[in-house]
Amino acid sequence: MMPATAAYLSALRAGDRRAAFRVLDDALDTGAPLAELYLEIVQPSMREIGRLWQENALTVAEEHLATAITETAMNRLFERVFVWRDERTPRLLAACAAEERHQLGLRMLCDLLEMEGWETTYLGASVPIESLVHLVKERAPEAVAISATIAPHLPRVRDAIRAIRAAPLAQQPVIVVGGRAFHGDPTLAERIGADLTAVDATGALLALNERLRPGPNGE
Amino acid sequence: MMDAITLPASVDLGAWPGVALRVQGDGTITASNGQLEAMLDVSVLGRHVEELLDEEASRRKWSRLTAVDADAGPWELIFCTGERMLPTGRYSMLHDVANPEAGRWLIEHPPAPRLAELATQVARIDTELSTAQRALVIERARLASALAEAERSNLALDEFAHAVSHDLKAPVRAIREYAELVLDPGIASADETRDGYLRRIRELTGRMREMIDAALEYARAGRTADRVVQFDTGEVLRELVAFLSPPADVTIQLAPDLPVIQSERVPFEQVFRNLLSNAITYRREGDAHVTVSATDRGDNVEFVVADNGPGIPATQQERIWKLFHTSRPGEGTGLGLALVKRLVESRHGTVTVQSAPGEGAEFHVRWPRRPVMRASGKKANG
Repeated sequence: MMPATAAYLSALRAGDRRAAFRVLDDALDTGAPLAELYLEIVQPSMREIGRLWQENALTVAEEHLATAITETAMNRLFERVFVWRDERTPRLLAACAAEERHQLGLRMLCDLLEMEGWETTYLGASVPIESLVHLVKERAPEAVAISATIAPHLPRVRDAIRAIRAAPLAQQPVIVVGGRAFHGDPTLAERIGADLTAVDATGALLALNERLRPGPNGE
Repeated sequence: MMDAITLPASVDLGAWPGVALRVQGDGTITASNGQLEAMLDVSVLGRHVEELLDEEASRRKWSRLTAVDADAGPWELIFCTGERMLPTGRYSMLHDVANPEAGRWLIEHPPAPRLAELATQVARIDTELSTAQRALVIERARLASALAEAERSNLALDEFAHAVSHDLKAPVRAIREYAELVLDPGIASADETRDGYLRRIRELTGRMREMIDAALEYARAGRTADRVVQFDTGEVLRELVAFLSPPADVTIQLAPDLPVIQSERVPFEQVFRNLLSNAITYRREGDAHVTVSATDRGDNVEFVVADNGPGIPATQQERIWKLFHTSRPGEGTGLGLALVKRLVESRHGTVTVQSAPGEGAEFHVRWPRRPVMRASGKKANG
């Protein structure tokens, strides 16, 4: 584990917001790109928090606090690095399947896409299927991302995909699914009707860029 | 090993306000107080605890819990089925003194629904705040960009107004002076002299009209947006060279690996038409070479238009970008390089010149591969 990651993790375990922010601020000051901070500091730390819960070394309350600190920390980072672009395409609508606490992966994906010039709308947790379909109709995004952490939420993901597929749209969005519930079963995403899946935010970023934003040289 | 927590023989688990399961050593549930069934809406007897736990996290925890023969606790577990998931519960493993052979009891600490609900609400508010905060970040960046753009155009307007008023004064002054001469009977007595002055006035008004047209073109260059298309810069430049049909003593060589980019094609063409036509105009007579090459600079492509012409003295290198500046007064309006700079910068590129007298000039144009941001760079740290 990198020293910054260890420092971030210990700040999370101590519930120390300021210390956590400082670790990320310092890392950003050294010129590390957002993706690196997300994937090498934030994500491994949050995985470790999950593992500590499994070992009964942390309570759910402490895990919640770590998540809340991390959400705020991500906003701070994003605010420092985000630069407005007049041309923001393609567009992506992102939602969690249900009341998910572990939605940081989807947030990371949205932030990283924004940095690459996408327009992302992050709807957060517990978006009713009708509202999701309504927004897809209204905004006609090129892509929709849905995440699910646990297996019991998979039926909702499936229902949401069916509802989008059934909606009268000029063009069907590319649907990408992800989250822990999809790990370990490579065909699950396809079986429930999604177009793409990936194991983490960078994987999803690559897959989406490849699908919807081929480089000028076709790269 | 810790001391075992034991269950007094007299306890009636039927009335226990939380989940109570009797669990065999292998994890099979052999008795229940009915709470888990009621909440999950499935029967649990005969099933393995692991089957009813939330995914891998709780399952791994369960195997630890049993592996360490754990009385240390409580342990947080999440029970679920394919359809339902219970909130996190706190559990302890208790030994049944009265009937130790029948397995141990997995007992949920009495849940506090109100507290759990509050915790969920806090988590939801946290998440909503965070989502709103993120939207705010994006909106704020948009406003900052709009403000910067407004400030830039104000500044550009000032410069523009200054250049126009300053440079148009000269021909106006000259016209006025010639008019005075025409009106002065002592000077413009001869018809041919007067006609000469009038012709000069006509030339000057023509020149003024050119300058006004140039000023308008310059003003428009930064504001109008063309459609973004994907095009091969090599192809565009080859067409430009054909269009400019350079004189016989000029060789224009385009690098073979000029890239394909996504951009506004018209301003791109305008920039290179001006640079190439400058290179042709200010050439080494008899043996002029011009090359165009491109280097990958990440989000940008750096094009270099290099010539072996007379070069530009260091003292002139700032001035060449100014509107109406020209090193050969009377030849052209002095719009070319000012327009190039404005076109390039309004597309978030840069243009610089490297030159020394007698050694030709290199114009370096950094042009974005794709349309990019309005606001500039990172926010200042801290």
